[in-house]
Amino acid sequence: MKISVKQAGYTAAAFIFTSALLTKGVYMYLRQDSWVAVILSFLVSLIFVYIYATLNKWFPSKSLIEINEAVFGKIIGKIISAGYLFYFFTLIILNARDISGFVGYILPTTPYVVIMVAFIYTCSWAVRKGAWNIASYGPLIVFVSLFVIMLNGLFLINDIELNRLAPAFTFPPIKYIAGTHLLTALPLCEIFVFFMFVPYLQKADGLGKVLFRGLTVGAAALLFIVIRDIVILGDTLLILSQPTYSVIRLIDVGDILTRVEILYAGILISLMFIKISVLYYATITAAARLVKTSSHDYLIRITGALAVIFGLSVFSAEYEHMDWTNRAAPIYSSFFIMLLPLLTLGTAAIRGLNRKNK
Amino acid sequence: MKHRIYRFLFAALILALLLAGCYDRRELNTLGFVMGVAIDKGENKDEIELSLQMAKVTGSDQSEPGSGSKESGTGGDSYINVSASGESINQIVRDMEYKVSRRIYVPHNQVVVFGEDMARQGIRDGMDFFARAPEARATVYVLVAKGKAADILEADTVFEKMPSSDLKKIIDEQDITSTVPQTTLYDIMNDILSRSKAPILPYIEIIDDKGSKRINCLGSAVFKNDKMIGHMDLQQTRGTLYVLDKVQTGTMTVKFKDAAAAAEIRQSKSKVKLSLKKDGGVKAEIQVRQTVGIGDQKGTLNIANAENIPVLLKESEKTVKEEIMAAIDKAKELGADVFGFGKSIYRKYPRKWKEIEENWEEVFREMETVVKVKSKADGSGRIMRPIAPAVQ
Amino acid sequence: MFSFLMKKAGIFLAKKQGAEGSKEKKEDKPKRLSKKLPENLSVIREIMKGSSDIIIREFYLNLDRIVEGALIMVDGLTDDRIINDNIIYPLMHDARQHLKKTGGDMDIISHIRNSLLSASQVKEETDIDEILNGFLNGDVALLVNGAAKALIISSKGWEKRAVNEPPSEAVVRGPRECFIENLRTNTALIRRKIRNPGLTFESLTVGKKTGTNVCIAYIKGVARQELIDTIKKRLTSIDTDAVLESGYIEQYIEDFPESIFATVGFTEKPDVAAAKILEGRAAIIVDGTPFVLTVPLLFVESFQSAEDYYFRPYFANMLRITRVISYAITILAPALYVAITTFHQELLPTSLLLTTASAREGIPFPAFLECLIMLMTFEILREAGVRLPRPVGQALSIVGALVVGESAVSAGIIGAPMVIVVAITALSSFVTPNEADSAAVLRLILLILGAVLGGFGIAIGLLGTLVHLSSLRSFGYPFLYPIAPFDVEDSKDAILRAPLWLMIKRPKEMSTDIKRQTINVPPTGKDIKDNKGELI
Repeated sequence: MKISVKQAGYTAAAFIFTSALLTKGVYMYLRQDSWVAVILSFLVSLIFVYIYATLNKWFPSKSLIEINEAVFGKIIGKIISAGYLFYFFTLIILNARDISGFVGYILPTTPYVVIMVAFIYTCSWAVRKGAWNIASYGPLIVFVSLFVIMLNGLFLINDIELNRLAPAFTFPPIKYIAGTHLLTALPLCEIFVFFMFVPYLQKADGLGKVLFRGLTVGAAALLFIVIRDIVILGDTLLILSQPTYSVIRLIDVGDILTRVEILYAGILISLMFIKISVLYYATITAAARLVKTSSHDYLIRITGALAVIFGLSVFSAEYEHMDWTNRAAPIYSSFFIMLLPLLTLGTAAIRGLNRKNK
Repeated sequence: MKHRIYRFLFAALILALLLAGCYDRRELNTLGFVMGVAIDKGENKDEIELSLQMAKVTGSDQSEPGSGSKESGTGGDSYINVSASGESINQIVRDMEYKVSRRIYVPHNQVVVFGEDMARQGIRDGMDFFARAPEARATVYVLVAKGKAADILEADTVFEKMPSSDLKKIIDEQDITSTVPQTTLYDIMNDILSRSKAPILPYIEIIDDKGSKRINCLGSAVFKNDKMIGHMDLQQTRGTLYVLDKVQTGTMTVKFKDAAAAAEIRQSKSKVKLSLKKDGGVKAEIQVRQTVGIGDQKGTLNIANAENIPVLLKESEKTVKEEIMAAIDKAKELGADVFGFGKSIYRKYPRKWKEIEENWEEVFREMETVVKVKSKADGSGRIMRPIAPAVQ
Repeated sequence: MFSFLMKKAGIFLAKKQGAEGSKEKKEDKPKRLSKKLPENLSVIREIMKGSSDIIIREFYLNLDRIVEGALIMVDGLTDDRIINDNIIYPLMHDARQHLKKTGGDMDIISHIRNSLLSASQVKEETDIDEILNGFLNGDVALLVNGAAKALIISSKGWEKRAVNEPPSEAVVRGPRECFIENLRTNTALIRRKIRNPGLTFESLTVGKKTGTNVCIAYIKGVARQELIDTIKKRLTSIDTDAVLESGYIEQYIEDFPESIFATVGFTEKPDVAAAKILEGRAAIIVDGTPFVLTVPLLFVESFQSAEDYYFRPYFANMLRITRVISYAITILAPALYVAITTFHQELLPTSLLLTTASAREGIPFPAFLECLIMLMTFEILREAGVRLPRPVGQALSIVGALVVGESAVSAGIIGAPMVIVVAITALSSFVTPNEADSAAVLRLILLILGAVLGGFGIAIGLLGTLVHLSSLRSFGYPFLYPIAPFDVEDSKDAILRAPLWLMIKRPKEMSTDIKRQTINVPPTGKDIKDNKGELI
């Protein structure tokens, strides 16, 4: 069975949604103006989605690895593909780290290794069932999450102070650029990973539609969450280590409807599960296509084990992780999801591959 | 076939790993639930004296089916107070395990009371633990007690089983008087982080009410940054809450020639309009619109008629104006921007704010404030006239 | 994880079965009838080896010459009246008169069949196995000397139960008839609901020793041919001795035998079976059981009941939501209770926490063990209640509820909240009886995960379940459809059901004839308005 555009689109939205629930970095740059960065980065991301879509149109039903080989030739193509493989793998590690950090917040004395093994193992189970499977429950989880987030917003309606959005546009432009870059590179353009799903799409050149849908829904959720955080948290936004989570903890409707963060934790874990499954899947297929093997089982096991090992050792403490996310990650990420695709597109255009394929 | 065995072994390994876990498992009957916290200044310098009120959970009543009548927890039975002193709250809480047989569990804490001495010295260090601990809640009420905070936890209970629960319920109910702020930890954090707004906390005391120790509200404690610098009485506090648009309902007495009425605030909405003056100063116009009804009245004069209602409204407007002015005067005297004018200026005139941020206290003291109150009449209740024969 | 265990067990079993199966295959050689009656009879006697319920009635037919004939039947399976009046009487009495009319030379068998027998169904057979099959199924086999053919004459008439109320699928509103153990009665019950020439019953025989008749019911032109082909392929490839209940068939034809979720549905009610057939599904009717299988099965069907369509939509939807919530409660309540009281105490409202804590004070067991004990007790009570004779069962349930609930709490062994949790869990499990078996397993898995890793464990367990569910297929159809993958059109009858007049299409891909009805706008109350649209 092939994946429909809708399914893949909402799964891509889940991808952005996950990071939206962990939004933190952009507040450091822009505080009450963070929503501006969301809108700007949405617009910037549209451009990149267009680039990805064009690549997909030129090479319909081909995954990233095959496009690289077609554009750059066997050797360079493989090197670049290996780079992507590494990028996907690091994303698994970082997100696994994120989720175990969050769960560690709920279960403080449980060692990360237990959390991570349990989580990665479940993901590997999902990966083993294939892309269609991931895309089939992706939309379901996104709908439920959207509903929960809206509901939470409703419960907090008394805590909203709209004037916390003011004053607008008071920061130096460089901060807007930094915030926009952060949001573009980290959650929004990460949906680039869905390039690995192209061979399984119902429409061979439907990636553009998939990404557009994912981007729109995801960015809308991100915008909602960012604005909600700003109008509810105000100045505490800056010192909380989990702003979006702390917002939910403020809910207190008549002493009974309180402590609903269990819902937040539930949707975060579910969304993160989808995100890591997708990344995991992308890594596996990229590796399999790179070395031209079909024994996915071994790859899944090896990748899972490596992800756990690196996930545990990559950062020694939470602050290091935060620092990396805010400073190095956007640049690191933009190399792979902005620069390389542009390069690929340019090379393909120069070599006239677009015409040949038409 | 072979890889199935590996898979099976792997699954078993993971299960074993998980089963060996249970790291955070704590049965309910191993926990001591902290219901109230009092923080006082310690005897030595830099020391904090921490008192915790913990619920003493007694076994289920079904265990003795014979005993028909259930003893309602009289004070000492349903809670225990433990105190200790030390450098940091975290340290003290751990040290308390020397005295308490159960794991001290903070998330259900309902109130944090600071002693006045501690408050004047600064509450930042005391709050940090409750803001930082992953499970603790930011919606907990924070209060200041006149005298020693630990005494509050010794008060006699009223309806609840524990003084701290009583205290929480008392603060909960203050939206009916609107004379005591309902300040949560989160509010204080927000105020301190805003640079200019001064937090106000409920100010309470213990009084001797016919032989029993009762909690009483005095108004609010005014802070500057994290240090208490003074307090406002009930009326001034309500004036402040008017400006902050936090008045919900309340009551005030309006005097007539040979009668008096309790004007009940049924609804209130306020707005602060800031404007810059030509001479560089700032002007704040406070507009209050409220609906006032008659709560009760003294004397035989019929107040609920076309003749007296406007008087009632006017008088209530005057009272509110006086309250607000009193609050402003007090705030200016203390130099504490309890109204958040500074934040509002920053929001409306961010450039101007940069200029005046340095000496905001002075600017605040010299700020021009105009108060405009508009009252609207609401119903007179179930009777239209006082209970007196009508004059023919 | 459990699927590995199941698979492993499955492999060993399958190996053994394969070995046995190959031995028996050698015996199968089609034997033909010979022309001599005594020879044929001795062959059959040899095969039946003097079983006491076999009746071989030898007699003379007086046609143009005296011919020996024999009727073979199984005592108790046949209707004596038919045999006496419609078979033996014409053969022994009327034969003489026919002789005079027709003269000598004709095929004796076809003559008997065409002119003498007054039974409704008569078949000619030459194969001994078919003949055996015939009389073992309750028909009468007529063998005539000199002919290498036999006639199988329908004369079924054994003791059967009356069509009465369905014991396991009781309804408030709706037909009260129930399938019975007789295959033909069951097909007739369906035929009476769907009077359509497209309705087809295809028969097969499954089970080498039992020779059970199995019937596939579907509507030609509505059900997909691929589905029917798959069912036939799977049914014919069953290589087993015995089929005593449709559960045997179910376990042989389901797509994922190692899953805890059944992917083949079953029902006792003809109206339910008919409704599923009308949606493009196929029903598999097995002789000897009132439980009819329906395939493919979707997960949402477990939350549906025939009454949903008989009641008006508002109430019906309320019931459906209740069922979904009950299912959630039955799998989650114990796990959540244990997770919250041992890991996330901060999630309970303060007053509730204090009450719960005081109920748990002095309980010797950890919450997890307490929960396991109560769940075990519940399973014991339920099993005992089912097995015991009905009057005793009622007494038992009272004893169980009182003794175990009340005294365990007052003795301080079990906390009162736990009794409430397990009680509501147990009650809820009866709301969705079709998923009660999977829920019991799932509940245990989630309970263990919840006790080990708290809410995180439960979340992981639920996600794993979701992955597993969405990877399931029932005869090629995604088990979670139309929830995952989500489909708006088909969601009209998933968790909620739209009004009947809005359900225009049959489930997508389930049926070749997608359109159920044209838009059938219900009366809009126009009749209380006059022509100008004003209220009269």
